[in-house]
Amino acid sequence: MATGGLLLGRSFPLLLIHSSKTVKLTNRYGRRASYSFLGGSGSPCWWQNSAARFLAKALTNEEASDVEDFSPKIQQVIEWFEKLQGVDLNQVEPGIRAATAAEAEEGVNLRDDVPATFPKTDAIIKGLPSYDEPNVRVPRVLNKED
Amino acid sequence: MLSTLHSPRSLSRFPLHLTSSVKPRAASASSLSDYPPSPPLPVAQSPGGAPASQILTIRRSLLSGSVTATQLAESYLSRLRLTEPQLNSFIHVSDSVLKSAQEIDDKIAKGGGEALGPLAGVMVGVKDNICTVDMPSTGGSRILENYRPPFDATAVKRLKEKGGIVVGKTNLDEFGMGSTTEGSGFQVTANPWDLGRVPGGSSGGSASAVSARQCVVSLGSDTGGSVRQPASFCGVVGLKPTYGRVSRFGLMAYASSLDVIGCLGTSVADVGIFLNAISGHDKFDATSSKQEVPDFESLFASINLLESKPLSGLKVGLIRETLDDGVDSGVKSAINAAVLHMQELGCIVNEVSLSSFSLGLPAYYILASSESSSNLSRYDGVRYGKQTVSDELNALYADSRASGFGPEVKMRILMGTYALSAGYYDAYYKRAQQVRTLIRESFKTALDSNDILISPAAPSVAYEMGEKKNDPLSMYAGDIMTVNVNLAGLPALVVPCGFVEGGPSGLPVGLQMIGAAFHEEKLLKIGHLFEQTLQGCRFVPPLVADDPTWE
Repeated sequence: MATGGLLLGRSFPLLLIHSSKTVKLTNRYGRRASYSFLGGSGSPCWWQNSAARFLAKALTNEEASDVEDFSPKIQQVIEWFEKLQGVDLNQVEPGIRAATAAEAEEGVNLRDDVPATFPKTDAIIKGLPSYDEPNVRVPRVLNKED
Repeated sequence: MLSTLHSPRSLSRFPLHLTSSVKPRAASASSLSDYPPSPPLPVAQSPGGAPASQILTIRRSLLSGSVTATQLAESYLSRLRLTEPQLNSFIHVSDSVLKSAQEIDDKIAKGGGEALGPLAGVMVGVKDNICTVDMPSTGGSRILENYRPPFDATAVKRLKEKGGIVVGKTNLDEFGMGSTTEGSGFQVTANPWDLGRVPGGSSGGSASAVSARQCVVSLGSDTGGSVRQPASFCGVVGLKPTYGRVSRFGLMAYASSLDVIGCLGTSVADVGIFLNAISGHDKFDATSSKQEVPDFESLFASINLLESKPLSGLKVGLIRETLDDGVDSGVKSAINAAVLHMQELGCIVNEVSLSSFSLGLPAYYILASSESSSNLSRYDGVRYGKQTVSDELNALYADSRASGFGPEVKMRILMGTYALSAGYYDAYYKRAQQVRTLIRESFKTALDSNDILISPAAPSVAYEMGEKKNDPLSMYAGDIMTVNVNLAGLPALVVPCGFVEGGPSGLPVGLQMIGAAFHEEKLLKIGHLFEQTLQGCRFVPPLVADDPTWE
């Protein structure tokens, strides 16, 4: 399962649907944007249903023009994904990855569960964008859900 | 359309001939602009002028003393300096190439040939989504601009242990997502065959660098064709190994069930020797196989020693669905000519049909975008990479990612999140996994009755820059020949097989050969024989062939 879209936080936008084609979103940070979505003639596109919240969760600070540029492209691709719906997959096991006969013979290839210290922790710390020894510095969460 | 255009420009040989009066020079770390024109280098010529192994030529030359590693390094760096302004293959060029070359020369001086590894003195390009401890690794993304990993990827560690010299980090579509290399956050790479065309992607920088002879071999990554398609577009050999053959430790994950590290070179022999050097089980990659790695180097017999039909009785299945409408007529023509050539070598070529072939593309994009939406969640601006200033944690995540990722990456994360969400998981992701099972089974059935399968590596030759930039489905459709192989986890080799009209001297077409799991040696043997006996085609781009200093 994915851990979520672009945004890992828990902000959910307040969704105000003004028309079948325009959605105004506002989120916990008070940012508002209007997004226009493609719709078929008379039928709401997937953005207006549950999928619209992913866009809002992921791109809360995107320019509306960028979102409008994405929308038709993503719509096209999602409709293309529908191609799999007509396939008879009854009794077909899902393939997690390309399992081969060799993998079945080899069994589990995990290394021993023995902790070891990584020798180059200084290099990791050097790569931290914001470090306040011994902690990684991040802003606080202001809008924590109760 | 002409399928085997014999361009006079492509008859040039590369590298050049050595004059015995050249003395070795002391190595020094310096910028590209400090390198003077360097002495020419020994060249290997097979009968008929077919591509010979540059790795073996370099090894022989180093052992005989006719050239030093430092001279070789200077020559390649000089060529890189000359061609890079036009190509932009490299995001970063190493400043320790000459130092590494001098270490090899010192080793030779002390202990002779015994101390040399199989890749001694070989210049290697590394795709920038593969971690290198001494150079930045950006994944082609601004979100990792200037990021320096604290470790080498296992494949990089192994090539260094065997004497390879990493010349630089090559350009790519951001995090491997794309088929043109136009999706890089830094620069656009050009195709050496026509500077107005794309090199393919996502390993476009690696393919371009090898094609332009800026390095001998290069590492790429292949999730849905990202080694094979640029190999076809740039007229070089590309190999995607079996999933699990090469460790993925240190490869920035895009789709973990599909990603493999692959090799590019100017000959099948070079690619085979390179694969040998980097393959094998790795305790840091639980999906890497413990299968024994055959000695791929021993497969490359001289064609002088072969009988007249060296592939007599070999059964080859031509995938019928890969020559349907939507494939350029010139590509079809080149593939048909390749089929005739294989028949001349003694192969029995039949058509095979893979019934689930057309389902591979949507299934791949569902799986790849879903896995990438999870894999790329680590780029949150906290532990590494670009961090925007923010006074709230969730805003820091959102702002860092929105400003760091490019549009294609954002689109794929959104698509993947959608495909995995509650209510849609069964309809998309689970169904795509079931389609993966169907595809794997259809390949297995076809390979039970054929030694290898063949197809074009791409439905077209290299297209012009910007042609597919705003049409994602059109770009995705170009992966039709390659994605099914990733879904099945099988090895595949792309060998240049002909030309189509276009560009200054024709545009190359690649033939894809698909083998059974962990049977790379069969692919390499067949590919080598095909390449060595192919008449009338020399895959040297005009950027290299036209330069008078290289004659």
